[in-house]
Amino acid sequence: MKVVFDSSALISVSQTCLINILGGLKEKMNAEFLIPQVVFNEAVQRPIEIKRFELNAIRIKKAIDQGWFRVAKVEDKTFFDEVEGLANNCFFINGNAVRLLQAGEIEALAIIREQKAEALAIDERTTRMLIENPKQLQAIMQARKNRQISIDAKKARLFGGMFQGLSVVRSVELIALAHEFGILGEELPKGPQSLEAALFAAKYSGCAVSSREINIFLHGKR
Amino acid sequence: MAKRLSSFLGKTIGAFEGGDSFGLREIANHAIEEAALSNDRQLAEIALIAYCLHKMHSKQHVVRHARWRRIRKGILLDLKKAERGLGGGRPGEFEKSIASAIRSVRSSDEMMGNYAQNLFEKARVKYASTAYSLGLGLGQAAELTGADKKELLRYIGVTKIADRDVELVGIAERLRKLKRAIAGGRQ
Repeated sequence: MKVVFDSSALISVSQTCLINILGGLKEKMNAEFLIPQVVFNEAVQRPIEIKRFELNAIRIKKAIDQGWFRVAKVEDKTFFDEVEGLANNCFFINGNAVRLLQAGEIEALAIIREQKAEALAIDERTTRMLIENPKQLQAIMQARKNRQISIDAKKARLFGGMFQGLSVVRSVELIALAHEFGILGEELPKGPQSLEAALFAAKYSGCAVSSREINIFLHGKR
Repeated sequence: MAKRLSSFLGKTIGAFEGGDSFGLREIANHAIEEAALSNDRQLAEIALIAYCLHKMHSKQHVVRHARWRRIRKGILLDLKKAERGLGGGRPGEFEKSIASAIRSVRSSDEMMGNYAQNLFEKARVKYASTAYSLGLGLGQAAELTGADKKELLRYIGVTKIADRDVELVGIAERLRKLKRAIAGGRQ
């Protein structure tokens, strides 16, 4: 199977110092992990030149050098244009389209389409909601902006349809899977406390997951 | 677009001249919301400037600094020049003057501030986080204010944004779907 990584998931996993679990996961899942070229630039090429971000960039670069990830480009630009055209023309305020996604997220989605990937690893919530539940995203936007946000239902449906059946995961699910496979135990002491600590570390590194969700998951495992 | 930009700029100048620190923050908050809705990077810059001026104005060690009056005068001059450029249909003058105001904010913070991370950079991250909370994607929010994605992600992680967004699909269910995908492709 193919899993495309957005920069948000890649950065969170790396910031929690758990990037090594991805090597084990790739093997256990018998998967190919792909990083879009734009994401590579954002997560490695640019930050490696900046002292404050250098360490994280080196960690990710090492993972690429070890063959855990393949940097991928969109070969057929039609995929990119299709995704962008729909994603950034679904929501409207006063008749004007709200631009929601930027090149990194769009390229990740275009690669999923082009390479027929089965999963997307992404920690930010807007892209995920746009794929899975645009109405929920609309509700959040309306509540926060206290304004009427209209949705082009046809475009939203078309967009969602492009990714039907796609498994969208966050770094917390990857960590949970690594725990089940016994890979997390290679990085941290074995046991539930390590899982809890790793999940909350991912949350505090920016993974869009609530404390409640983590607690429900951990409770279910007890 | 120019009319709205001009209105926010005018309000920022008025509040800064009047020493209205609270007002500057209100303007900044309002401006970033509008900027996020319309993907207006120039308006986002006005929001960042207004926020930085608010922060500077609220710090005793800044307003009591020997050079503060001179710096304040310089920033005001730049902002007024930008306003004239905008009103006169001279976008080049507007952009140049805004860039000069940003340079002044940065250099004065370097001179008088207590932190290694510049106030302007912090403002970029803070307001990108606001844009994200309003519904923009992470990349789009970062691009709007020029924030670094990694800094933004880390900042978002310690806010309550994720706790406020109600998730309909939990960890266990996502994990189940992922395992199904591992077992046999898309379901």
